[in-house]
Amino acid sequence: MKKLIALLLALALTMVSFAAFAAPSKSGEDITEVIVDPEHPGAPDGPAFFIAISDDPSDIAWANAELAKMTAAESVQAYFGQEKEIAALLGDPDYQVNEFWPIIAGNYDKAMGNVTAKFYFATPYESGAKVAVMIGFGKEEDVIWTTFAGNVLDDGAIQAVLDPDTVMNIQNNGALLAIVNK
Amino acid sequence: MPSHHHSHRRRRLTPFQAILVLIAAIAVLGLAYYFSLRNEESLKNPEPFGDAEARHAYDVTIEHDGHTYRQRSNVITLLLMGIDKEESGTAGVGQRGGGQADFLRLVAIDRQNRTVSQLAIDRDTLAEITVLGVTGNPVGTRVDNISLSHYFGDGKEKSCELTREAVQRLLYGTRIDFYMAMNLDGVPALNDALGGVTVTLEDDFTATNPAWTKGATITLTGSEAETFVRSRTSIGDGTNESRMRRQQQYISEAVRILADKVEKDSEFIGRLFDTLYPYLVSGIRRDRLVTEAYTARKYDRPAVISIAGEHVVGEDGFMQFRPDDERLKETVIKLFFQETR
Repeated sequence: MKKLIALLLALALTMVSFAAFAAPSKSGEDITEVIVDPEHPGAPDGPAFFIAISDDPSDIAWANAELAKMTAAESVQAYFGQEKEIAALLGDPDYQVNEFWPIIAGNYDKAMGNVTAKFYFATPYESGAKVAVMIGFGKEEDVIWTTFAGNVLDDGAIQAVLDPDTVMNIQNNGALLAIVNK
Repeated sequence: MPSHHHSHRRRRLTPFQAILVLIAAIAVLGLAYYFSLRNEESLKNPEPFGDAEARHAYDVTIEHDGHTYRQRSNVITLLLMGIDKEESGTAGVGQRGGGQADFLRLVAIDRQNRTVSQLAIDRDTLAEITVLGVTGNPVGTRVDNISLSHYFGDGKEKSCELTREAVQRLLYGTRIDFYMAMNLDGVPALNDALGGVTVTLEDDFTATNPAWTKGATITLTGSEAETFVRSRTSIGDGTNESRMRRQQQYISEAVRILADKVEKDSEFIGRLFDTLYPYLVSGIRRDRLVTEAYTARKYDRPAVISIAGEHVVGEDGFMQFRPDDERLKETVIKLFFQETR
């Protein structure tokens, strides 16, 4: 019996060690992450629904082009064209945008309903703070932005609820994601 | 006797002479202004003569076990970085996407003791790194793998400065005089400029090259060198720790070859710098690098020092290296500091 326990312990330790050794090193792209939680999850053995930062070169180029427009604009709120919506969430204008990314989605079905998304970014947002989560569509034309309410959780993630039409549009056409904060 | 009347008529300056006088006046005024600025600067950081304590007021100091240590001025520190970001790869968004500083080595050229020491810093070392927003504004810090400090910024000087800051913070404020970063794309050029680097494989590389069996001795040429120092997955235990050992093996041999070449040819380091220039971001001037390298060519080179600590898997599932703070401080003091009297 003792020999069996010793063998099991040795095996367990080996597995843990192997897991440690096999752990990858982090890259910059690993810092930003999206975790999604749909109202009605799909079948557990089906393809997993995801929203993710796009690494497609054309999407990156699109994001950089729009970022340049935002930087050159008269103000953050003027660029987004959502002055009232942002003000309703954040109050007086003194806004910053520290996160700006192209996003994609996959394996989503409208039957899944609203999606609670948690966005993890490099920027250290203050726990409990409110932010505006901006989703923009229109890759080959003028980008149209929509404002969603975001809350900063204790672990630093920004949580927002996205409606089915928005998520479907992200999946079909890709989108830009920006976080506006005070 | 006739009297001589000297005419004391006032002579006028010629236009040429007037211009000379004007230039001289401007020069005098300029010098006066320059020295007044210097005086202003010295007033901000006054150096009272005869006051040794005040003279060192701006040096870096460390407190340890009730003793105060000051960073030695006769130790030149140079941070070498190997950046993992393929030049042909995808650019990031804004001031994100500078690649990772996968290789970090702090070189200490000790002029007093005539040694060149090296402190190896694991790229997975947990450290406080500066975060820039996508538009480049500092937005705070986070504790993360120190290699990620280079991810923020322009992928060039700004990213290197952020990495230098992170390493300085890790090493209790030790001032780093210079840095030099090379994209790992430049390893083939470095390798071939040295005439090839010979290594004995301590791991099985047959996944990348069927001839690269464990125990084989090979002379790396061109892109083989990049494969050797960059590969990790499917090589040995797949850890960064093992990759660092291979990088150390490569660098040891490369440094030996380099020192030999510099000894025989004082122009070599300059030519090497020129060859690698397209892959470099350098915070040290070429002439300074040449001087330091040539001066130190006969210095002793002790074994590379590694930071004591442990490798763990973080909550995020990625490898982390957690340094032993006490032993790190002792190492830093031994390499760079001396006790104040």
